[in-house]
Amino acid sequence: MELIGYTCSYIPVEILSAAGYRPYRLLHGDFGLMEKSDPWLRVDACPLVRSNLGFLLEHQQRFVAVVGSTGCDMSRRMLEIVDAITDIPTIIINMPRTDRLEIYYDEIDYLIKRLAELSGGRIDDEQINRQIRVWEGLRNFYRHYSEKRRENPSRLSTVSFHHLVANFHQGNTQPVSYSQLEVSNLPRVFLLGSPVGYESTFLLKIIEKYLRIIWDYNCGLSRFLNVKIKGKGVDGIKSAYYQQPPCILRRPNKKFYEFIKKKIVEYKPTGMVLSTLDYCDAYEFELIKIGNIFGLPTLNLRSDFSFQNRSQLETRINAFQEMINT
Amino acid sequence: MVLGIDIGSCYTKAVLFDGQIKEKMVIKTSLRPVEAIEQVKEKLTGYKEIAATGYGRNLIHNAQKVITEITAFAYGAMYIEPGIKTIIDIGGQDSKVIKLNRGVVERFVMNDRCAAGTGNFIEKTARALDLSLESFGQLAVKSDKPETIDSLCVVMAETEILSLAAENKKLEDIVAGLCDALVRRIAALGAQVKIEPPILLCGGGALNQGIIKSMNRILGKVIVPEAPQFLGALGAALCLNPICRN
Repeated sequence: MELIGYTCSYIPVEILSAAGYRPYRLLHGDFGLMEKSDPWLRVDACPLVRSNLGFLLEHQQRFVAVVGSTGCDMSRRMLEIVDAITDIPTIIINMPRTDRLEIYYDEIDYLIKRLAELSGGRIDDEQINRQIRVWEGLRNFYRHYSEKRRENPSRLSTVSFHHLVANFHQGNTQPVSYSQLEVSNLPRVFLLGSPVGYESTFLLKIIEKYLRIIWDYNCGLSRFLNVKIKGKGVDGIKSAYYQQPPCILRRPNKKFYEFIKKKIVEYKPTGMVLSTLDYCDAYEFELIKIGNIFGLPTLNLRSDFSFQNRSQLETRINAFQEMINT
Repeated sequence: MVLGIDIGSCYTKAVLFDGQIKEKMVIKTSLRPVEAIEQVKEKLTGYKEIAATGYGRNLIHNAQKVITEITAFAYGAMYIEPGIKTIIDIGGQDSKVIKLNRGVVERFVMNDRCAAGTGNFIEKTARALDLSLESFGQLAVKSDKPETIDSLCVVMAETEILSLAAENKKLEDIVAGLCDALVRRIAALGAQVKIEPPILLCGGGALNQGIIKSMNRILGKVIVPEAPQFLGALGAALCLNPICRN
């Protein structure tokens, strides 16, 4: 099945699937791929975007199109570059920064229209409803694993969870099971921040050497589980995707903070790890605020998907564990 | 008696501690931390237990206690001056700002991806000016009007130094300007944790009189312990103290 790339949590996978394509979330965090984007993106651009562009350039023939949104500036720029330098068609939907439901709904209609043109077929309600069943079934399946992380003691590492949910993000509609128990009594923390790339396991491993991540709100990990489609057809999809707990980039983002606060009350973490990609400016300034707002011990980590500063990262995480234990 | 070792990226520092510092030594790590550790163990003897800290802390296999330098600095600072609220460490490869609340680490930030704000910045620029580290500091203290060095990048700072030299600016003012640039960088880093006095300055950077003068001017009066580069090793030794253990 041909792949259709997508870059944002507001792009409904059900619609991409209904058009007959396999939705592949572009979440690459491979330092080696970044070099391939150097002729088109400056070196201090977002490492996720550089890596994703490198991946697309290397695998152009596998993609029938790439869909993105205006939610993140640099991701949108990547699509413009793809449009300019490759034969891959791009579809950019306008993601309203403010609370403008009607704009989002119109943009989803536009996406369906463009996909129908691309596939040469019609996307009808029957196909949509079938895909809702498939993808909601997958979400329920992976929710069960996410819950294992938050049990006390936690029974699944986020390192393993990350491997499992990569299947969802890469469009594998077969549920992939994992039966190994990974009980941990390490300090229980939340992970927030920039997207976690497919190749980010090393960072999660360093964190979970000292702490157990029991919940996250990161693209690439469990963010997709917050979409809960209750209605049918395109309207059901539109409503569920629009109503999902918001991206930090939206304004005002009061609902984002309220959602995290609710989770803190519910899950009672002992601390928070805020992971930011280098040059991910939005997260950089917001994260400082997060630490102060929630009143929990907070660790800021910055990385660019490279391994260069792994010993320093480890020192920070180790020191944070010592700080929590004191 | 206990041995506290701080295996830093540039230097390995160690103290023999028995209620007070009995002996101390410092040697270059030179990318061979295991050799540095062996030299310390040969030279400093008579200890019953070892505590390790620093980037090479996990290389001491028979250590009774291994802690990060952040926690070690907190222990050391509390021993030297119990009321300390902020520790600033200027190391060779990184710098840290640690905020304490009654002796306990409350928050910390580290700069490790860029030479700006680290001892490396001073080493590189001193080399470009053909100055030893000692004379660099002594010269900076003489300046009453430090030049403004905008570049935080060590490479770009060298270019800026060349421009200032071409304008026949006084060497002491250029050098003091470099110290100010480094301290401004640390102040920006420390803004994330809100630097509060009393501030304790430690690490190899605290041996540089020019940096101390810039710190006092930009951040307010800083406290510099007698042997600032040994704070981590001292803190490690202190963590073997029964009170700290509990």
